[in-house]
Amino acid sequence: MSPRRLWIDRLALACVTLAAWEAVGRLRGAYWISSPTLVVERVWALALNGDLWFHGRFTLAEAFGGFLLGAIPGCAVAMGLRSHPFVRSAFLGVAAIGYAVPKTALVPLFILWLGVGPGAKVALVAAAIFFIVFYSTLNGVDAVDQKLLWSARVFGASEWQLLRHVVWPAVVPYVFGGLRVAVPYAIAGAIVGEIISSNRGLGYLAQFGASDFDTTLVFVSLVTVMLIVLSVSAALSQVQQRLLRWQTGSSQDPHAGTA
Amino acid sequence: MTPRRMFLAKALGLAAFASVWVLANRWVGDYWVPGIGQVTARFWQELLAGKLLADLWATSQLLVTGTVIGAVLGCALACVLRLSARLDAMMQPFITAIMSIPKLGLVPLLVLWFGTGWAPKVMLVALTVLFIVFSLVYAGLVTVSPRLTMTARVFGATPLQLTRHIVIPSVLPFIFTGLQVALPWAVSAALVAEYLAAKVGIGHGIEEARQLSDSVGVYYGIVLATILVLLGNGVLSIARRFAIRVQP
Amino acid sequence: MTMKRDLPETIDAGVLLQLRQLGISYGTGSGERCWILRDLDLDVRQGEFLTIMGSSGAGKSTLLNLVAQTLQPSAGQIAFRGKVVGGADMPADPGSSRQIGYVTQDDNLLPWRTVWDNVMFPLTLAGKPSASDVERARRVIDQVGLTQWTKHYPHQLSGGMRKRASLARTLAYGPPVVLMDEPFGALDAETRAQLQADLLDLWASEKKTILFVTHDINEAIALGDRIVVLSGSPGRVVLERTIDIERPRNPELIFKAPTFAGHYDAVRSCLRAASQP
Repeated sequence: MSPRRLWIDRLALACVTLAAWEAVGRLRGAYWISSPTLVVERVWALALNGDLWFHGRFTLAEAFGGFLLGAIPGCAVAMGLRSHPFVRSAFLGVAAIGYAVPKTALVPLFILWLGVGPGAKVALVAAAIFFIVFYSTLNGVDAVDQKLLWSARVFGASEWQLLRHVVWPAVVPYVFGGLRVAVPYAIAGAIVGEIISSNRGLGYLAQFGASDFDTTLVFVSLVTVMLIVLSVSAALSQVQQRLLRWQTGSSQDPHAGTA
Repeated sequence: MTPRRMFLAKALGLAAFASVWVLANRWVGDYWVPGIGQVTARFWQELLAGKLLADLWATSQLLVTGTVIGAVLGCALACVLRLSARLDAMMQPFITAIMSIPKLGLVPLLVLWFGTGWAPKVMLVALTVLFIVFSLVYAGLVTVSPRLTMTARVFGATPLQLTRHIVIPSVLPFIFTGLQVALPWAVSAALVAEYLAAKVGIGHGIEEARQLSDSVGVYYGIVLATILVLLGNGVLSIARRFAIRVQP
Repeated sequence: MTMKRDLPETIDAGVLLQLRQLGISYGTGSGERCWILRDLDLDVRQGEFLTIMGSSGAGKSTLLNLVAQTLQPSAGQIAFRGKVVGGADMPADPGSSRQIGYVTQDDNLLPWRTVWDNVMFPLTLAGKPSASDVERARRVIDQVGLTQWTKHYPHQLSGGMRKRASLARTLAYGPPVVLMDEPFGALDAETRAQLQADLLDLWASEKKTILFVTHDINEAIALGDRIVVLSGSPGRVVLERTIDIERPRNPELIFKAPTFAGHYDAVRSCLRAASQP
């Protein structure tokens, strides 16, 4: 199938969908389903008056903050446990239970502790991201070629040197894979936290729109989130390709980087 | 690491966790970290009052219904896309775009459209499970061995027989993996749905406790939710072992 | 007789399978076509045991695939019992006649079924197996020596045992035409000799038509009524030799037959010539 045909197909599907949406919106009233034109107008309006950026900034900050707070310990702990099998076993036992805790179950707790501000969202994101990055890094650490480690040891490398020169380069693709998977979840986590209880952010916008029966606003929020996640995933994909040019056979999942 | 040492390690890990909990309770007080005893007492209390089982039942119903619907639709979508190469290629970017929207972000929309009844909650869980199962089954369908398919065809298998005897057994492990991966997220979705629009269930219980600043209640709810996930994992493991006798 | 093109009007009633000008190619992406087989003509009589030999890559497995109709030819025709069943204009439709069995090089057992369920698999596809079907399956499993292993799964068996299970599966199915692609290659000499003898018994008693690919000249001479050698690139038939050794034959002692040496030399020199570039 030629690429041109493919893009014609896709364009046709997009046009048909948008046209149908517009038609239904006009016929049945924008109240229930809004319409593409209304959504675009509102996006434009909110972008111009700065509201979109105002709320978007909060969501991104929460996502990013939580991401760092979760990813760095996740990676560090996984790598640190490499040479302590007993502690590793002990930790994995507890971690399995931690992983089983549904992260949204913790939201009320975080709100109880940290109030309705950004703190609770950051904590939520951190909790979710920690496990994702931890387990990905752990897989990477386990996959390190034992022969490489052994020969470095024979040359008298210390644990720190081993980590830095042998383990880390081998682990990077796995860490990166984990980060890529984690990013959409970070944004999702921030959104969820905001929906449950917040007065700022894109999730808040969606919730506010719904309670105000302002369907257009809800769609604006959703579309914005979608665009953010898509662009961040695309950017990460580019970075990964650059960084890991020497890697062969990374998993070719066409739906990677999605929540 | 012998199995004995591993068991010891895990036991010690749990003990360490419990100690940290106790110390935290001593240090910051009951509001932030209630004592283990208090939480256990609440468990017992709620069990006797029948509320524990009622909440567990309500959330489980939501979970199971949503998961089944989501899994069936996810498999169906994967099959449809794999059957038609043209449709598949055409839909790629749209699927990726839809999957970028956090499903939990749809809660406001679903509640707006369908109110606070049972439907939007089930839909939320179903949507969450749908895309996870879809991803895995979509990947799994490619691994159906063309040689086995050819062998069966030479023996005169009809397309229906091929699906039943070759495709389904090949894909079953992926379906189970999809369900196992989706479980914690499905429970999360159920909880969020219950926070915002429910009068019963574990999620409702947690949110209610929070509003009353009832720390013990919140902890109790979290533990109960975790138990639900672990139960679900157990059920899926058993089902998996029963349904899949060997990995292809 | 519903044959198209250049096929004789009157068909010898004993001819089961006819391959005419058969060819198969694939596109190499740069617009060219690479022919694996070309201008291949072959007749197979009813009840014949035909052994097929050739250098690696000459297209022996491809030929079997074409006869089994899992591949569609790019040129030429295949006729079965006087009716054209495969051609460049007909999409491949394996299994439609349920007359052909194919024992492939890979055992292709279903990993999630026990040996017994695997052997019964083709029979269950055709409908509920009768008591005589079940009886035949049991007999065949005994013949290949897997009686103790019926409840095991393929991954618990050695490669040779899986091969035997695959053979049992096709034999239990009992089609009149059986294609075999080096079925005894991975087996030890003892088992191989036993299975060769069993195969000959089966062939004689049930009057099957067998197309048998092998690398082993001894085996080819011991089993076949006729040996066909494929060679060249694209492959075609370069030698057809009728083996006039009397039946019943003892495969283990085939070298004692008076005409053995002649046959052996003929085939060997043909293969050797074929492998020179």
